[in-house]
Amino acid sequence: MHEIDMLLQGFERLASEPFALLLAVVGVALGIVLGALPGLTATMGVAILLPFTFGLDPLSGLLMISGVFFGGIYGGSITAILLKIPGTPAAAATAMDGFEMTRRGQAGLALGTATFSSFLGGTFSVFVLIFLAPVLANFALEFSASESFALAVFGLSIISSISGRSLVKGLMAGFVGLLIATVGLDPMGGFPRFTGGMTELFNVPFIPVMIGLFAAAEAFKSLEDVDLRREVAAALGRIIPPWSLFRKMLPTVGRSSALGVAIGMIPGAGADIAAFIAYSETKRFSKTPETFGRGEPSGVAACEAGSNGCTGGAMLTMLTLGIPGDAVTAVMLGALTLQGLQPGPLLFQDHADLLFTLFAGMLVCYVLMLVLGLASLRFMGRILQMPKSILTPAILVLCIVGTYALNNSMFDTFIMLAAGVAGYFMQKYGFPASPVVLALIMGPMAEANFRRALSLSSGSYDFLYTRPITAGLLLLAAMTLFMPLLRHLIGKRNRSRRAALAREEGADLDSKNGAE
Amino acid sequence: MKPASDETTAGARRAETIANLIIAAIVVGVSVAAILGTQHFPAVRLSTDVGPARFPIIYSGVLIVLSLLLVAGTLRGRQFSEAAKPKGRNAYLAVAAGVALTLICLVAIVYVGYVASTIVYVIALMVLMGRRNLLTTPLIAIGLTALVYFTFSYGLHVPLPVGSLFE
Amino acid sequence: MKWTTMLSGAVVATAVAFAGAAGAADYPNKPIELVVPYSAGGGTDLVSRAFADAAKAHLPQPIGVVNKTGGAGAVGLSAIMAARPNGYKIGMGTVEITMLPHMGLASFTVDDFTPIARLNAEPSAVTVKADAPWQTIEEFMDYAEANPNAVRIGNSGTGAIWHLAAVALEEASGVTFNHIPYDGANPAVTALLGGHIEAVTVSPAEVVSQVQAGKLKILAVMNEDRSQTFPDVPTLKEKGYDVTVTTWRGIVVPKNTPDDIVDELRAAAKATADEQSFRDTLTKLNLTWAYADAPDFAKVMQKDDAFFADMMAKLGMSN
Repeated sequence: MHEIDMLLQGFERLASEPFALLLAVVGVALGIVLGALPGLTATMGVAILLPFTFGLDPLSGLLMISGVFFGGIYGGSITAILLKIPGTPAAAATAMDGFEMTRRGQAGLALGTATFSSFLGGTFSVFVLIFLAPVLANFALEFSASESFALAVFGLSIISSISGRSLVKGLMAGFVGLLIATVGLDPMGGFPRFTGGMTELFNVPFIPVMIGLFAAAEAFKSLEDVDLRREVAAALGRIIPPWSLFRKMLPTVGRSSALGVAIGMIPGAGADIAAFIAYSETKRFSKTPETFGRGEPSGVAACEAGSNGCTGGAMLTMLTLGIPGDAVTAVMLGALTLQGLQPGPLLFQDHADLLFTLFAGMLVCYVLMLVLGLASLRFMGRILQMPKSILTPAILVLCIVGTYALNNSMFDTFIMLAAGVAGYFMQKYGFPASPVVLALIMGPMAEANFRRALSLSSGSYDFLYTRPITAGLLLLAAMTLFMPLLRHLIGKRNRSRRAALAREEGADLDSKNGAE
Repeated sequence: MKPASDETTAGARRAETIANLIIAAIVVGVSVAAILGTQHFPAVRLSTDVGPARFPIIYSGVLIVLSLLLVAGTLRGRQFSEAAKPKGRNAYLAVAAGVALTLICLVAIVYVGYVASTIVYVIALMVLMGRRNLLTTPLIAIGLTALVYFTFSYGLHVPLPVGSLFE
Repeated sequence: MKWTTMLSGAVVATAVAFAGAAGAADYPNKPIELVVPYSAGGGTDLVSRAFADAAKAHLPQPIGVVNKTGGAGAVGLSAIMAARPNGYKIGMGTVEITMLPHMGLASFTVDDFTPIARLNAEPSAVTVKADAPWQTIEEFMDYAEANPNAVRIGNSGTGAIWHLAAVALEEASGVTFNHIPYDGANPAVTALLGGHIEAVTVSPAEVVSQVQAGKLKILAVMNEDRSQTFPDVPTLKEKGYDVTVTTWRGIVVPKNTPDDIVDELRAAAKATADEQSFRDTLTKLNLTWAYADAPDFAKVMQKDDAFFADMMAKLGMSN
């Protein structure tokens, strides 16, 4: 195949560019650090590096930026798993099962699973980018406002599968999130809603709320345990997942990576959405859905494969159409044009040599991520050996500084604290935090696109059922939302039938043993 | 369930019943306030739009229904989480102290800047968590503050606040 | 234990660092903060970073870029307005300075800022799909006149500059469009490529790669003069519509900043803007270099302020 030859040539050219490879290492390492710290994002890292890349040759500059992008998405999982601090919104999904594994003393296994799944998901997406870019180029264009609305609704329906024990409490958390998501400028008219005149509230303070709900709430909770304060947090355990376990997760990784690539290609949808959808689909296909949310390794694998799968998809749309799907690819677009490369349909014809060298470099970046990730895990795991009386203050300081750094705003840190207090009580009384985060991601997307679609169709609601992708996604959403309810009802009928049988058979047994 | 823990379990259940009812009441209150708030929103500007008030009203309506479901479920003896374990009064005091310290620290950062506020904050938290050594506690606090300061200010080009009194 | 050694090492390092920071001399004697009201990676951010990079040679202290986003720019612009007028916190002002106050979204007015230098300006342009039935702006406007509300024009948000550009065209020609707000210019261009809308009124810079690839075509620009990148595209003025809408970006400081500091910054900004590397960087980013010194920049700001006050009132957007 033509592409394979081109790719091999790309590797050859890359081998003669040691400086570019060195910058790729720097980029990946920096990305992991940025991703792991709350509030700091890959976008920020890429923007900081941009002036530095002015003076570099195109390949070195782009490889370094790709490294930051890839590392940033993976890095979020490390602190999410170890400390329940989601460094990125996508890692909030990873934290659901990842942190539970840490609690059970399987932190190492969770980190190892996350690292391998990130690597596989990312590599898969780069291969899709290399071989299928021209075929898939126009996929993003199929997505109009109505399709994006349907995708958001599908995303929201996942709340039912991440609700934990009580569906009512999960849905309440989700709808509170949706209501919070309406704070700020109205997406169609630009009218400020529920802001009390504060300009800081014109945009929903999403990341501060997330850091508060997860990390600060967890830190406050650890103040509770008077007798555990001097204890260390948890053991790390083994890092490389045993082959028997990993083999079982391969279908999950494959499916999640594919979902990630598809979602990454859609403009306006990114790693966060991919992680949650991959998680929910994995749970749907699992034989043991009840283990999810209690430290299920496939849950971690799904989130990480999904979010890293996005990278290739997002780049595909950016490179073929010249349209960035999210903030990171927007900065990369700037970097490309700065290097004299005009992304868009012509790029693959005019600059194929450079492009395939870059693709080869991206694959190298993912290998570097795997190596650096695995090598640093033992060191990162030391965090868990710190006494809680030092770790908890450290986490709180990071929450404050990370929130501040996001937007150089003290206002956001107060929001973070308020969310932390709310999160503490939510956790205490069985209200899950992840539906709030999901709703904050999907809520604005759903509302803006619904109203946009309505304007596009001149006020007609026909778009809900006349467009196949829209209708399909909405149907899927309905199934996802009502499946647990249905399962619950069937289960209840079976249980009550069994209970009735048990009552008849074991009436006298009970009287002997005493009620339990 | 062992008989010995029956009493504490009953206590936890009672606590959660009350908590559920309070939370439902708060959520209903917020929803009603939100619906009332939308009354001041301007009318639809585009002929093909549903206006800025529609979505908040839908969400608030659903929240009220869900809250009522929660109340009903709670009163019928359902809606208990395993998470709620009984905690002593001291535990709550420690959490309240932690939250209060954080609030004070944030206000202090606005006026006297990151460095001074954070050092005091970390020392206070460590004392609260039972680490009361006169030498190591302040040293660790200063070290932690400095580590974060250098990582952000120099490594990542994020200048941390110096405080409005020193600007 | 390792972490204690690490932490105590850091203690020593801080002590040394803080001992070094003291004293005052002529301006600037410490790094200058450049507040950017939009997020990292956007057009405004890229101009700011290119400027900060090129200014190194012309100022004794570096300029650090600080993104302060939110509220369609209101948060960052308010922060610039409220900064101490000592020249250490300057801002990248944008056309929104003259728009947000009239929408009731801002606590500042155009008079709260002292202009230093305009660096960049982009006109609006009417862009359609390459295979659209209209070859010229006249055909497009005739179709829009014959079919009121049928032409869907994507913009970068209600009340944002490209929305007002389309409204200004409506005002000047008497047609009615169906305005579709998107979350920024890029999603609007994506929708146009996908054929979900008929046209966009974003800047030529934001569609240049699709135009060069033959997917989109520009029918007219809303500027005084033709674009250098697309000299064949007419201006609306040539075609009889008196509409010029441009966005601009430039350095501003809070009012009451001492004159000597303003002069220092003006000189540095002029030298930086004239630097070839800065102009090259802008060109590569498809951004138009449009340096204007303080007096001219002030005129542009006042003119736009009056124009948008009028437009917002007509639109019923003055809250």
